[in-house]
Amino acid sequence: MTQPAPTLGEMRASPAAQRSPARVRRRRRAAWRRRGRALLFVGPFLAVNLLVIAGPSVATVFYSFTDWSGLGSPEWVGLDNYEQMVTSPDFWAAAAHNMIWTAIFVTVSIGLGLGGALLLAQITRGAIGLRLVYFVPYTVASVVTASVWQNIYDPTRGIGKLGDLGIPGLEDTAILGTASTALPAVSVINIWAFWGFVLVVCLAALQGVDRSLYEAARLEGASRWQQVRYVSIPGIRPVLVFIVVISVMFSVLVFDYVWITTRGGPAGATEVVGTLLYKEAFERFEAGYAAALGLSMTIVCGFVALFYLLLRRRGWEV
Amino acid sequence: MNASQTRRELVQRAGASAVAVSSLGALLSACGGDDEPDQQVEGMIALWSDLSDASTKTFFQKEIIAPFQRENSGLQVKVSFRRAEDMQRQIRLALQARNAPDVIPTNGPAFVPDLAEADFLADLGPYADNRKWEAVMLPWALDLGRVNDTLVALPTQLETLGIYINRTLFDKQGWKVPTNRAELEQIAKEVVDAGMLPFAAGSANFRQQIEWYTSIFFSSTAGPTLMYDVLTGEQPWTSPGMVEAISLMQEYFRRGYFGGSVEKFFATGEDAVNAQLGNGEAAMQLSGTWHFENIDQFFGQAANNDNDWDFAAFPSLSSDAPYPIFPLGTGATLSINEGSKLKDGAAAFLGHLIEDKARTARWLAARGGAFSFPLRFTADDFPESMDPRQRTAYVSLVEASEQGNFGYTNWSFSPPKTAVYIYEKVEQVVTGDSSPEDFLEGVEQTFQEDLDDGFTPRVPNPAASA
Repeated sequence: MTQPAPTLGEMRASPAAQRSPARVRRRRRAAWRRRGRALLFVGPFLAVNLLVIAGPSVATVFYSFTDWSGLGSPEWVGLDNYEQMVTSPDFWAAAAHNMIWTAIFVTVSIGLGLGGALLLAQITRGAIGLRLVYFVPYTVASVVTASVWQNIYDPTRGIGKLGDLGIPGLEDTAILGTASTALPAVSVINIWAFWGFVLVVCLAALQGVDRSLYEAARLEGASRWQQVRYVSIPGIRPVLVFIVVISVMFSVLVFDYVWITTRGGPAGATEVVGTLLYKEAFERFEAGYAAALGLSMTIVCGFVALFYLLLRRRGWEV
Repeated sequence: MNASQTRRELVQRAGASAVAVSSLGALLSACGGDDEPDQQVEGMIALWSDLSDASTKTFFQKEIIAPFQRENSGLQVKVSFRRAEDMQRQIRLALQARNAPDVIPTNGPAFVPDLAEADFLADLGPYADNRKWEAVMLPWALDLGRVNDTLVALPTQLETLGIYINRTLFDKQGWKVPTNRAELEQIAKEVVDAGMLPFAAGSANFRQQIEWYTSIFFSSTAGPTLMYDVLTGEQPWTSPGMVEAISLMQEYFRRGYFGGSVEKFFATGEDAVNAQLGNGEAAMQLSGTWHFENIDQFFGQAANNDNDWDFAAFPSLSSDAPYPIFPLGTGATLSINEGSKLKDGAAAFLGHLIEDKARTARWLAARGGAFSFPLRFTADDFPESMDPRQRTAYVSLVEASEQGNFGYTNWSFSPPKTAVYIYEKVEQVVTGDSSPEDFLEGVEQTFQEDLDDGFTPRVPNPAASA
């Protein structure tokens, strides 16, 4: 049997070839050219990134250690803003509302999205149209969605009007004006806008699950529920975990729906850290303290992302 | 009134500035601060405005800006309209970025001090002296524009709070406008018994409006003397009269006087509130003189009903508060950007807004509260065509301010942090999550912070006025 001829790569990798000074110079020049080309492509984006993300981020970190109204020169105050934050009842109340929001938003939107996807996966006729219908709310601007729902919740024109018309249980209903119902009601608006996105993503993931696994499960006598539990959900686990991660992050950063509908009211019942931050920055003009609040939100989101990465590093299929 | 500026406008301004620079002699003269500097200034004055109504914008352009440009050849005014809720944030960012317009609008005197502290506002004192603004402006209003004795802002709105009533309903039911607490509570009872709301009310579109209620209850319960002492730091916010005011406000909210219930108050929007008064579902509405601008939309033919409206002072709620009392207010100011190259031109524009009392009165008569500059108006200043209810309100307000029969609005006379604390935290009193005493304790602490910062506005003394 004859030995196969060395490949070009093997020849290049031979010790003699590597030691040739001319070849080393050429390789170095080629490497620099490659790096230069790469930098040409990446450079503009890197510059924009530094300008609009890294710059403000570093500035926010700096301002969080200052007493600054947003005007003039900031005054260094060390950790005062953070001390004020952790001792502020308003901050902890807002953080608690974020946690409640997260619990509602993550469970309901993922429950609805996954459930809808599992049901839609069975449908072939009109599936695309249905997907579109469910996805549309996600594409509507939050200000429009929030305004529509504000009218639905309105005590004189919306749900409250139904009570006036004699529908029992809806008399004198002021959902957004009642402290106990306002926060869940606003989160419902966000869920309405978001769950279609979850549905479409889960549906796409479900279609990637190997059909033979379902056949095997059926042959083994698995019920429909068992197929969902032991085939579908494990099959789309990476997607589900990703959705959970972004849902938690969205919940930490939530601002628009709350601001448009209740501005944190009534009596702080829907105040979240995002709205508190905005008020500190642009109503009380405590920009330094607002920066500290913003940084705390970033840190929480960072921990969520870190947890996700750690799971992946440890070999979890997420 | 205010104004705005886009990138394109910046370029235009640069061009306009180049024109101005070419006229160097004129500019040098303009910067010299002589007696009539603005007559030789040329250029484009950039102005931001939060006017939102289309017809009011047109009026502003045609009736106010165009005559100014005709009378001041070489000076142009470029207005950029901004959303009211965004403008204050945007103006601060623009100032910090040195991209602000020549004329700086704010949402009221409470927003002025830290702009002045950061040296963004020009000293208006020389202009006020040269152009004799003290002769036309109400003194309390002009004083609200001073920070550390320097005039840096010109209050541009004359406002007060009172009650709008459905006059047709009142006449039909034989009700008289309430002037004291007993009459108010009696009418409220009769209104409720008749299946209506005593007051159409709701803050869903503008949560901050709860400060209208604190302002009116402080003024009509604690009275002018105690309020003056509190606002000047002579008495604490926790004084019994102030506690009584907030307790009464809490009680009235609990009784459902305002909007039917606390919950409905927080959930009902402005359109529904206005419609409730117009169609007779509610008897009264607590609001301010700014509402003159659009009140007619909810009555008569425009709203498909046969009703008419009227305006009156809020009833006196204690013996410490005489009737009528009008809380003084100004919800907007204009300043000149310290970095402006057209300071004299900007001052000429400010002067145009206030120096001809008869002309300003015509604007007020034509557009209600949108152009209600705080001048020393008398009944004779207003045109015959003016709605008599509006004329009476403004004349009464000016007279009250000169006779000491006035209260104080939160947005004009509370220092910045205190003002925000009041409208943010009083909601908890209304919902029962906080007591009036605890709330006022918090107000007092915040007020002390403002005192330490030196950001307390000048408060007119009712005793001195009387």
